[in-house]
Amino acid sequence: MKNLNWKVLLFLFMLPCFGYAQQAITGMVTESDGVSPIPGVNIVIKGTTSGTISGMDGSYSINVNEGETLVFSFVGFVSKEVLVGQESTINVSLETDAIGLEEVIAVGYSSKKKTEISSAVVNVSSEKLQTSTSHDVATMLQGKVAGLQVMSDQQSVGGSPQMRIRGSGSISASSSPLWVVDGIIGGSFDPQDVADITVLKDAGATGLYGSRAAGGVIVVTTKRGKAGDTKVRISSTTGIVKPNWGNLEFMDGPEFYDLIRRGFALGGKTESEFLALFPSEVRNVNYDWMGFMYDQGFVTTNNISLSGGNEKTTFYLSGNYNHEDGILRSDVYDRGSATLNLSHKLSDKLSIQLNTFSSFVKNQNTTSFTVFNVPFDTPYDEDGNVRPQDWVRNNYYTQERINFALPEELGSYNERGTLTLNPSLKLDYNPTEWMSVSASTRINYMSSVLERYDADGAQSTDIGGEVRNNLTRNSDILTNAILRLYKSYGEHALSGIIGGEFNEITHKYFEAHGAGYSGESTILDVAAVPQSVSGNNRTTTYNSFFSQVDYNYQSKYFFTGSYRVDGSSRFGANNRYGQFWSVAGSWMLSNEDFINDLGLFNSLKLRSSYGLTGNASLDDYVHLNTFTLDASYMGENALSALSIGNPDLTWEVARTFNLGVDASVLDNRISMTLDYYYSKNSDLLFRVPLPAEFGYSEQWRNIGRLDNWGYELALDIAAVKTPDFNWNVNLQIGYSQDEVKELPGEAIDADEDGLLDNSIVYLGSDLFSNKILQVGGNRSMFYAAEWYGADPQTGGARWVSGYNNDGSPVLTDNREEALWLTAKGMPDFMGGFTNVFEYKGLSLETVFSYAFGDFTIIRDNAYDNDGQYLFRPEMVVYGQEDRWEKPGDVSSRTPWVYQGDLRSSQYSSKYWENGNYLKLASLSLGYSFNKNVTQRLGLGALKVFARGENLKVWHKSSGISPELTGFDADAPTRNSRPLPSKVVFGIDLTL
Amino acid sequence: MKKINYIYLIILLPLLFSCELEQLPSDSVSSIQAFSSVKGIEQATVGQYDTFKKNIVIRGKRSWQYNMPRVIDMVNLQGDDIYITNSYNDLTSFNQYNPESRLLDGGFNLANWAAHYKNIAVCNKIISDVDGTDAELKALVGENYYLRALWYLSLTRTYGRPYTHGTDYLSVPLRLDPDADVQERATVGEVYAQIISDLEMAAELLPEVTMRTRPSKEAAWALLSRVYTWMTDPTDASTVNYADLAISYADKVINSGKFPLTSTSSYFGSSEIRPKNMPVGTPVNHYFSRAKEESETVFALGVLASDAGIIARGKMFMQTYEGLGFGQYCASEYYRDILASDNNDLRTNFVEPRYQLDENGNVKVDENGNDMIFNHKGYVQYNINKFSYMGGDPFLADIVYQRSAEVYLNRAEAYAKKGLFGDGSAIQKALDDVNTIRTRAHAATYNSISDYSAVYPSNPGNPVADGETPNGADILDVVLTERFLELAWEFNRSVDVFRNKRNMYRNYLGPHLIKGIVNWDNNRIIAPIPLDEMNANPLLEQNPN
Repeated sequence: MKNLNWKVLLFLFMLPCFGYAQQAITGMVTESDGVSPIPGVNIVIKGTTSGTISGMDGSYSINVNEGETLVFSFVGFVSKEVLVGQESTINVSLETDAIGLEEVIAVGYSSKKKTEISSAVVNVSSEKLQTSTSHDVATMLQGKVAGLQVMSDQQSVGGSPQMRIRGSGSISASSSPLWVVDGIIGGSFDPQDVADITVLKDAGATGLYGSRAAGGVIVVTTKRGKAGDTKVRISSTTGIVKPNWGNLEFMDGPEFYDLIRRGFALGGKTESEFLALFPSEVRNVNYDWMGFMYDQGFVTTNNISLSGGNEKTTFYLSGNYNHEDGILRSDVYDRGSATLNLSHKLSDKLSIQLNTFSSFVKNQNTTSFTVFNVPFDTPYDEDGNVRPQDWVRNNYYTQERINFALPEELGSYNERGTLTLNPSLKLDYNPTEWMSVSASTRINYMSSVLERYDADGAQSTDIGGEVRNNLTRNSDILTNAILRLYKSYGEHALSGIIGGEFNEITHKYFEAHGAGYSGESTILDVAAVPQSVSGNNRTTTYNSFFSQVDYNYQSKYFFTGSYRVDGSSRFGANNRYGQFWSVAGSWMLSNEDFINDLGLFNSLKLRSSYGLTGNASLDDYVHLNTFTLDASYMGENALSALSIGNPDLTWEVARTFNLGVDASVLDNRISMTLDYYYSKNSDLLFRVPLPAEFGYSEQWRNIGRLDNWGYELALDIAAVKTPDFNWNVNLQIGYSQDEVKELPGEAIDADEDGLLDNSIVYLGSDLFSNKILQVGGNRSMFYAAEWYGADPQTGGARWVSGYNNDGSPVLTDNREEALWLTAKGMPDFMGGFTNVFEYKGLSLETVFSYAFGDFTIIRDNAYDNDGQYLFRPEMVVYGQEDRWEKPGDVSSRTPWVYQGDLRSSQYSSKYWENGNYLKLASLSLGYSFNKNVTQRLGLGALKVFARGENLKVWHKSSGISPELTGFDADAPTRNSRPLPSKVVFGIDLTL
Repeated sequence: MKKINYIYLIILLPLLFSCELEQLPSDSVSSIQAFSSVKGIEQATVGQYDTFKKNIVIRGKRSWQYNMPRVIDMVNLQGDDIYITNSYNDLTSFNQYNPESRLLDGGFNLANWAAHYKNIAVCNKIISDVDGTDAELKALVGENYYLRALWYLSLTRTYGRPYTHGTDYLSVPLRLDPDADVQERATVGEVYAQIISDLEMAAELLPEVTMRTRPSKEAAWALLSRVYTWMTDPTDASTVNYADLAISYADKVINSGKFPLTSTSSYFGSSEIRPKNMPVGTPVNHYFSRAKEESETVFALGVLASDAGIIARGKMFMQTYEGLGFGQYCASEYYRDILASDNNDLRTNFVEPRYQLDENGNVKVDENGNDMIFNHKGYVQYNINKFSYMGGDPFLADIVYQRSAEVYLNRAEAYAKKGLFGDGSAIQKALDDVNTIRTRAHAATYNSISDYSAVYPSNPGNPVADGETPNGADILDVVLTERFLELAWEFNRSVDVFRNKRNMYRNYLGPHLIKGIVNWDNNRIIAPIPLDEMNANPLLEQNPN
């Protein structure tokens, strides 16, 4: 019987047309708006098993006898029964089911109903995103998706945060997710125009993206118009932003002065020697440099959008303006953008869609700074005149004798203007109900001009002011063509995709640099002393072919399979093309009688996937053996060795298994998603440190294997649901672990030094920190000498060289003899939780995010120095004991000694601190006016709100916030920017 | 049919845009391209000089600690002619001769190691692949032999003990074959043998001197005279043949007549002592400001005005009166005291104290009547101008690797050692060469060793701790003191002291920890192997601490 079914299905599938008796009824199934088609609706003749399913455009055709009843059903919509009369066309519109479970989710090349999806995907609607006044959507996703980690950017107002989905399966290669905007890889958009975001986490969903999908995929769908009256929406927020310094605090003038004075005495200097350098009057200068550099800022975002159209043409038009006067002195960010999404049906079969996004961003940042100055130095004299640089050079106490007030006073500027244009055109052709073809072309063009004038030049030469202009132009052109097939028979539905995609990304850059400016004009051509010019070009290309098959039976059993071939210029000549695939299946248990009979679940689905994806985020050309021409001698071009190639270089391969369950109970009051995943990452891209004797110090290779696995739980709870009062809770927990499984060579410790012989020690993000890669270890492991503290007798720097039988440490004053420790730089748990309370029109929403179970390197600890950095400010160490002062004192901190032994500031385990934190990312209070009021005002809807962002981070570490240390927890936090805390007021109205 | 056509059209249209996957960088060339033409070989050869102008990229990272103009001074800072006003963890730990302060993971040290080997890899490739019969290629191969010797000599003196301490000490891995696997450290003896053989090849292949910014036959000889001088052990008469070879190679250079010493007024830019009230940083047209054009120069790394942005090395040695530059490396108190022993010695003009001037342009004096000099965090600034004044720029100068004054002093040292070994006539020859140098500097000349002792009673050639009776002077002390005075800050000092088994006097102001005598057998006179390299090559053995 089973076999027969298949044969019948196949037979029917092959037939060009079918149906031969009875009366043919055709029609459209749409949503309640009467316009939006619903594909995949089950249409069954009541009392029989025969039926059909609506096509991509919502159309259907069925042979039926007069007097029979058609049942239209589709999950997420209320079923509808229609008695067939004599008409030949029956158009049906279905009302959305109040439960609303069945949204259609964009998963990249296609859209699917949630029930159809067999993979770990999370959909976040635009309403849920609006908890952050950010120009970047990543910040808005913080704490809202289990397994998605978002690290706030700290570098500038215009920067973008980093994101990781399910931690990272890479070591050297980037694990940033792939962005897909309106079905096309890459692209730009404004967060205000986002309709929803889908995060694809497992291979079942990402498999179709092949070599770039190992870091997960984030699918963004922008808003589009619906037929009907034109809707106008206006929203605006305005507020202030303040620096949040967390636990970082510097000593004030008198404290710092007294510390140095003591340090001079300890260093054997006389009081008069001290006073000669530090006259007593500087003690009370006490200038607040932190306050000088960072101050309250101002932020506003404004958006107006219009949407509407008719049955042939729909549009969405939006304009945005963001302005932020950042917390850093003279940091100003302006962004304006416009979006037009236009759809037009040329005929029933042919439609065209144009999406355009354009934006201009201007970012000014005149004050650049490297370290904080000591409180004895002041930017202005008693009369309020700025301290000139030649005075500063001879009189400042700070090691870096720079007056940060000077650039703005002298008219320096540093301004970047970035223009982004992102048009895309898509043609859809539906020749029959079971087939459609689409072709898209998208061009993302970015041109960025930096204009910089340093009135004081290089500060240590006398070539006058300097001007630097540079121009970056990036273009990312992608074209694709996709054939979609869709066919169903009875309870079987089969669909498929075949497509090809071509992508060329070019990056061009040049810079010109002139000096000798006196300030009247700061245009390059008036340079008295032309300086250097530089530039480079890079091109990356991808050619891809992909296919996917979806099958479902009775809307109970779902299967998806995908296959992709990717070729890229980034890979070595011997490995240019790769193949990727995935399979996924799910079982809608709640459509089974034996589950339904339990009466427990509103919906219950079990799903699983397995697949192979790749990571191609390596630098261009690293597979080639190259010499750079960026070298010269005596005015002639020279060649300098640049990289040692590797023709075998290829992508990393991630083989990921995922098992998940989606359930909702108690009238959908509680819904839950639980996932388990295990990913084996092999051929890891790694910059293998080579002995520098080779003439090259590293080579990109594919080495070893790293596994990562974890659990993710997302809970949505309608804790209280009454007509007047609602309380919704959303909880996201991601647990992840990783382990290095294989490295080249044998994982043995032949020389018994406590370290596996094939371990790789490499530099972290900078020279500051070593990291280690060893079998059995984590992907991000710090590696440093074990710090003990001050010798209880002498106060000298001591490290631990071993442990006695009683567990007491053996101390050494020689760091070379110290034990080397490892520490884990990735958190065990991370996630967030959201609470929404609604009472009538009033709503209160809180969003928290958290991470714990990791260590972080707090580089601010370098400000807790031992006299090494003589003229740097000292921090007030958070939560640690006092410095060693006299024999018998036990302290991890050595005394501050002028010209002392300067060794305790060296990198060691003392820089490691617990990285746990909990952050109140957003707290907002809003009021929506009820309909009576809005109607009287002539408005559709009106909401006012107040919101606080980044209000508080709870953490135990010193420094600003462990969240700022980056994914590998080794990004510099010294000189870091404080976290911007915002309080904004907003209004959101619809006409 | 029409339907189908549309479909094909739509599907096929994008195929027209399919991309070329073979992408090549626009600003670099493949190594095959690089070595396939004479021009490419030439560019790769001179690319080695570029290495020492910029920050080097190590393991994908570019750090301020990888700044090569500064790394060059790693060895300079070991000397007693210098002090540093800033406590760079890395640079200063190397010169502290203190076991506790040894720093294995310092960036300067790593950059020094990596940059030398980056260049050696180019030398190896050209030497092994290029089979040159025409003059141009022969000269290029010769240049690479010369450079390989120069780089290995620089490496072995940094990481290996002096040759005279024993040839079995470990030096650095001796990579000659571009395709060889990781190697152990070779011995000092093996490295020196290779240096000599490379220099002999270079002397054969290189043409005679034309421009002094590229090595010549004579540069190879001059370097041989240096190498043999360094190999001669004053306590071991059996090394006399090295002294003879040093003398014969020095003779070849000097007798070629192409490298006469620059005259007094031209060398110092003046025949007078620099007036105190001349603001520091006021340009002087001295030899070092024009080194590439001077016939005294045997070989110098040429610097152009357009390199100002990348190799303003003088910034470290000079802070002008206006406060430009850093002026963090200063002439040590010890050096200045010795120099001041002879009032007429014009070499004092290379030291420019940063005097404070009053409105009338006179040097300010404090209440005790002492001249007031700017200080940098408590360290008085005695600037050094040997790295300044090219084209009047206070921070720019060619980097002189070899000049004939050194060749004279190599010969003097070799004669002095022959004198110690019993050749009485050599003593006068040594004095003659020393007097040649001293005459130019307007310093008193010597008729005998006792003349030297009269000028320098503390005998800086063989110093003792404060309060102890000075050692009696021998002819080698005379030469070493002259090298100290003449070649100050030119990468020689610490090598000169320790290879001759003399101790170094470091009891003067500065952030160094050991203030006193550093014995020549101290383990810390050589740098540790960079930790990162130990990690990358398990065959490397660390220097004892």
